[in-house]
Amino acid sequence: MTSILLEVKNLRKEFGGVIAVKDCSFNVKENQIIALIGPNGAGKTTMFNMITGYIQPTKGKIIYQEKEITRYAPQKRVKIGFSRTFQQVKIFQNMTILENMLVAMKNNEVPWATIFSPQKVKVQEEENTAKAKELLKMVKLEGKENKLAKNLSYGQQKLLEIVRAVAVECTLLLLDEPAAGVNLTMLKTIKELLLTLKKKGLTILFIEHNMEFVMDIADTVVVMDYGEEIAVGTPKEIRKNKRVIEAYLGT
Amino acid sequence: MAWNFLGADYLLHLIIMIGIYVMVSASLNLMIGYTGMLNLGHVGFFGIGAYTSVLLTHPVYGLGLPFSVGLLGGAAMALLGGYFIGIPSLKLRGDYLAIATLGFGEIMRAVFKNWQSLTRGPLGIPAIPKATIFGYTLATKESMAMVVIVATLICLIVLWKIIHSPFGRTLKAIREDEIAAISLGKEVRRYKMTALCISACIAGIAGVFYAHYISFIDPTTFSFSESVIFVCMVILGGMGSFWGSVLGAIVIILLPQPLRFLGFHADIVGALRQILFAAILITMMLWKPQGLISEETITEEKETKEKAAESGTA
Amino acid sequence: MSLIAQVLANAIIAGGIYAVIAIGYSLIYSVLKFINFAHGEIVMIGAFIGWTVAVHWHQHLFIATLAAMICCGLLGFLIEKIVYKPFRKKNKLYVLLTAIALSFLLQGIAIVLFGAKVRTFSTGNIIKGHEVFGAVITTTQFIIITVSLIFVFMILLFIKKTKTGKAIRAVAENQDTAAAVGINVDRIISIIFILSSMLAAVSGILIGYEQNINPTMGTMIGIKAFTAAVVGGIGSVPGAFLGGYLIGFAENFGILFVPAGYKDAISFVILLIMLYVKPTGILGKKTEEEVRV
Repeated sequence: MTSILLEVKNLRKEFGGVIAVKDCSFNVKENQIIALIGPNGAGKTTMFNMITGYIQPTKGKIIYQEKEITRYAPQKRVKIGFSRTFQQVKIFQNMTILENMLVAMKNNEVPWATIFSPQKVKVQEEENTAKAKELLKMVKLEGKENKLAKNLSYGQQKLLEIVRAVAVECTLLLLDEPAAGVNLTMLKTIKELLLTLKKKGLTILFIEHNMEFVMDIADTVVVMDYGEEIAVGTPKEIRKNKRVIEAYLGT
Repeated sequence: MAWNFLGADYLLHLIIMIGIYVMVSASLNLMIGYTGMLNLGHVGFFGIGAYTSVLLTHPVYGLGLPFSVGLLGGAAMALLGGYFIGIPSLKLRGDYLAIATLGFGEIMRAVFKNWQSLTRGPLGIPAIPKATIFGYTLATKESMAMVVIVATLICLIVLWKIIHSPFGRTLKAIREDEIAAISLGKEVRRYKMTALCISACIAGIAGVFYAHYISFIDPTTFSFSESVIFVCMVILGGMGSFWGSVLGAIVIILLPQPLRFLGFHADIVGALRQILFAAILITMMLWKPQGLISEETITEEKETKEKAAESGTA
Repeated sequence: MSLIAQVLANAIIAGGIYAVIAIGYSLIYSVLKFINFAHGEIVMIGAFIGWTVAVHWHQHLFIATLAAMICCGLLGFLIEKIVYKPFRKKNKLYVLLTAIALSFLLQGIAIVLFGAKVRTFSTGNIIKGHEVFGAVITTTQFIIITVSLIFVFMILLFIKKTKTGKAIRAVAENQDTAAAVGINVDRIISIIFILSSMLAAVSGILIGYEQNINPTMGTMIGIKAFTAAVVGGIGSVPGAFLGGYLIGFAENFGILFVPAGYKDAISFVILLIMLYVKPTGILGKKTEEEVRV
């Protein structure tokens, strides 16, 4: 039995009377790929933002490694092993690809680091650069290190954002629609990347609309509708689930 | 040389002023250009540095301590000022932050003007002692110019090192996308605070040199319009471009110089200077918001050079 | 007792003037989401046009006010069309900087045209005041209080009741939606600039009657009125009204407790506290940006 990494317990979010997420609960097991799916307006993004700490839940608990983290700030969640991407790509447009990667990594970030210990910084930068290049290779962005991020295609920007999130050295990787607006070749790259990361021991939770992508790589699928989880199971189980079919076909 | 007829004294004066303003604009660029925080109250730090040092060193109106104590004190107080203004204002973004810093600058001016037992208020403080360094008094313009140049270079080197460190890279990331920086675990507020304090400290040092060079300060020197001129230097040179802020300061000092020789009344010269700066700022914003030396051209140049190198080896 | 009454009277006079200017800031912010820094300079220009017509050309005050309103309205219209319009949908920092530069420019031009000298509307006769509850208030001050209140309520009514007012609110809410339902957004923005600038002209003349005028007066008055708009909740017209009086009261009552020289600083301290506690101001709405990720 793998142990539970993240527990979402009766999470609820109201926006001035409108209930976006209604007492939703599910578990994320260690070293699994979990997909969070559901029709538009099901509350997936709100859920995602509550887990990552960008929105405060009205009620309920988030437990990570047996510790309650419901009120942790986003940065604090990164410290305990979270890392996320955004639905709308958020990369540092006017910085190079390498710089984008290096920002995410562990650095000595005292302002006078380069003044008092330049040698240490240099060594650390070299190590980080090597690591960054390795990661970039995984998404076929090698050789473009010194390009400004804004000169990448949309799909490449998306890939960069994902590897940048990986560079944070996380335990739980949270991706908001990693496959949206990405062409087939890149989709394959992303799939391979996620499976490699899983092999390396990462746990991945993502929101996605592309069903093929979800069914291909997810170990567990959580389906949300009207702010509630209506089904949890393997892709096979979900495909046969009546409530899920109803939710998607609508009434 | 065309400068000869103007006299060596005048030339030295320009060098000293440029040095002081380069410190100001380079420090302000750390905030505006690299961290993306519009600061409209930078003159407040400049003023804190000036007044602190004068009050520490002045033999009549102050404590009569050596210049080095004044310099350290001015830098420290400006840094402290940065910290205090940072607490309420750094949670703000964009124009709100700009307004908060503007408010800070105006509050500082009110303090300079009204704490008369200390600052002599609108009368100002005259006969500020010359700067001394290692017991040597900088009585001549030449010696002052030398010291200001050295001080400016030190400030520039420190800023260069900071900007080109992992810390500086994170500042840029915060400017580019604050939320993304948070998602990478960066304590954004702490970074901004550090940048603000460094920026304030260097502006304070510039203020110290200004006071001891001009030898007279009064509250009108530290008005909002001075902050706007500071911002103008950064914009003109290029936000986020290291050499841009240096160039900006030089141009802003030199450009209005001919106005002095047109024989207008001082008020009109001031107004014309103001019109000139305003016109520069508007023109830049409309047609070249990235400034004379833009950050991008630097990176792109690097890129094309690398490409050329690549194709050369291939 | 009479001291308190006098301070109260001064607070109402100052508050009324701040409110009229603050409404201009708020109106423009509500639609274009930027601080029109040059608004204070419009106030100054209004005062100088009024002075030129009334004192220099010896015309009736009514004509002077009308002239100032028309000229400033036109100026506001032109400023928006020529300077601000190219910045729409661009970086907000740029337009803010441009507005600051514009305020600098207008001030410089005014110094060149009128000189840095202080001017006054007063005829030199000592005006006898009336005693109201122990406070001495001159006829001019009565007029200032009434006129500012009339204008504030007129603008509130205009926004609430008229068709154009409704269109303004729609554009403030969402420009794209407003355009989609057939509102001419450009026209509304022009109207807002004309309206705000006319209000600024009126307040400039009111200030001229209360104090002296000079080409640099706009900066301080502008910043304070802007503070009032922020404290009340920028983008909200009733908020600007409230903020205007709040700043007027705080300043005038504040100097009972701190040296009078700090009068100008009082509003900035309030501003910093307000920005710390509730950046959106008393009546301000939470912006979308803060809620959304």
